[in-house]
Amino acid sequence: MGDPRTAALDPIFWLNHANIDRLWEVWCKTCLNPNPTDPNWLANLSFKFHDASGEVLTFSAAQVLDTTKVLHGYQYDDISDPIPASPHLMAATAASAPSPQPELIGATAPVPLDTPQTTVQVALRPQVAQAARARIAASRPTRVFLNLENVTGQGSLPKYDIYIDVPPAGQDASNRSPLLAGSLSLFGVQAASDPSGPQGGSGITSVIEITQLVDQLRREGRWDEARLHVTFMRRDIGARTAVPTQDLKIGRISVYYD
Amino acid sequence: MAAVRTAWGIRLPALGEWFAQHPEWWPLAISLAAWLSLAPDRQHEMTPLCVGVSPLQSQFVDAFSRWILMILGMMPPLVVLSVRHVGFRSFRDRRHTAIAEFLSGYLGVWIAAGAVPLFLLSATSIPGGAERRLIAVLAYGAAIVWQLTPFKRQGLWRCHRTVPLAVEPWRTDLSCLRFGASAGVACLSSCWLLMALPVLTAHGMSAMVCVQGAMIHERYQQCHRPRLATSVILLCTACLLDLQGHLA
Repeated sequence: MGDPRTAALDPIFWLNHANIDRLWEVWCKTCLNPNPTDPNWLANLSFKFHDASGEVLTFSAAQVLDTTKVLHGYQYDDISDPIPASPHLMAATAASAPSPQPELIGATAPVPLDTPQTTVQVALRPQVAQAARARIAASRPTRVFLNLENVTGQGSLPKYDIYIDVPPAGQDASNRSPLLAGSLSLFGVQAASDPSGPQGGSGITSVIEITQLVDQLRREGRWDEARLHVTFMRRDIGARTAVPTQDLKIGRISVYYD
Repeated sequence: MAAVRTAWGIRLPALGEWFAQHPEWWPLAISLAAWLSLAPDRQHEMTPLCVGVSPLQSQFVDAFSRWILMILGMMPPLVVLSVRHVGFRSFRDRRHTAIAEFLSGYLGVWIAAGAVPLFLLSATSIPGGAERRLIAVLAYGAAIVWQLTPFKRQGLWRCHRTVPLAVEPWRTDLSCLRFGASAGVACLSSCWLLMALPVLTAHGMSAMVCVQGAMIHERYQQCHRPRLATSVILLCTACLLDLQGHLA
């Protein structure tokens, strides 16, 4: 499952993708999120599949938008929203103004993930942050995103859990409880790191919304507009299948206001 | 903030924000200006690059200055996505500085790449008439074959590469410049033969327009592959126009 070239040979791949398709339907039906209308997304890119007899079938995204019309057609039993959308998301989605580009607030140098646990400090710029919040606040609540840019690596790569925290300066952070922001999946990283591949060696970029966590830190008086600690913890620590990481690196960790 | 309206009814704050959200506006404006300055250059279009009576040095200077204009006109539209990447991966107050540094590296590679070939062409006397037609047909044929090769495809893939940009004071300048240069090398490896066509046809507008169309079309395809049918049609059109026009 860890490599796009062989993932479809694992039965769990099909369960996983069937549920991703269902969640897409949930996403479209809630939060006022219609499917994109860009022809580049809908028609200019097609995908090849094989049917039960081995024949190649080609579909564009436009051909699979309506599940009742794909091949024999199907409908999901349950597309109710499992997690009510956050007020920020609802407000941002409902805002009539076109969404401007997110603004960079701070970033790090390249971060190698060569140990089971890595903590890095993202230096933020308070003045830039305040100006961005003032601009965004005119139209909607500010959302905060953690960008993990240009993640590259080789070999069989593990998953990481990502935590954020703002420990007081000079204080040992080991006895604190950082907040779980999400996970870093390295699916496809190896192929995306190949300089002669379609991504040109860019790697992958993963974006995690941390608005609610930042709100929590603010409420608790722990938020600092000048710095943010991000911790990466390997999920397979202690497991017998743990594999050594090979040149795993995050090109840059950045924080954006949107 | 009160919205001030211009005589055309455009809200100025909205206009300012539009420019902030589209920092690629000025590289595209430079491109437009370069195209406009090349368009009325009928004298050069009618005179093949290497035929003339002027001394070698002035001929080279003339050809090189036209090469620079051609690069300024044809290259910025190809890197709009990279320009936006650089702009929005930088702090708001230095977006345009970062873009200028990226373009310096990118355009610098292209401009430098033309110097030696143009000098050699300036020193060479290329025959006219049927032999020149043959050269043009061979050049267009070679460009079409190049579009079919895996080297072209890999070069095109490298054009879409992104890199993390530093944010520390002087490192950020260096990383933008270096990213621009690497994008220039990738672009050169993908489009060198296409860009040679307008040079061989003395910067003929038909070749420039068709090559620009082919490059833009393949660059902004979602699948990042050379669009062979479009390339062949556009290059054959340019070849026919050249043969019927100033090469006849």
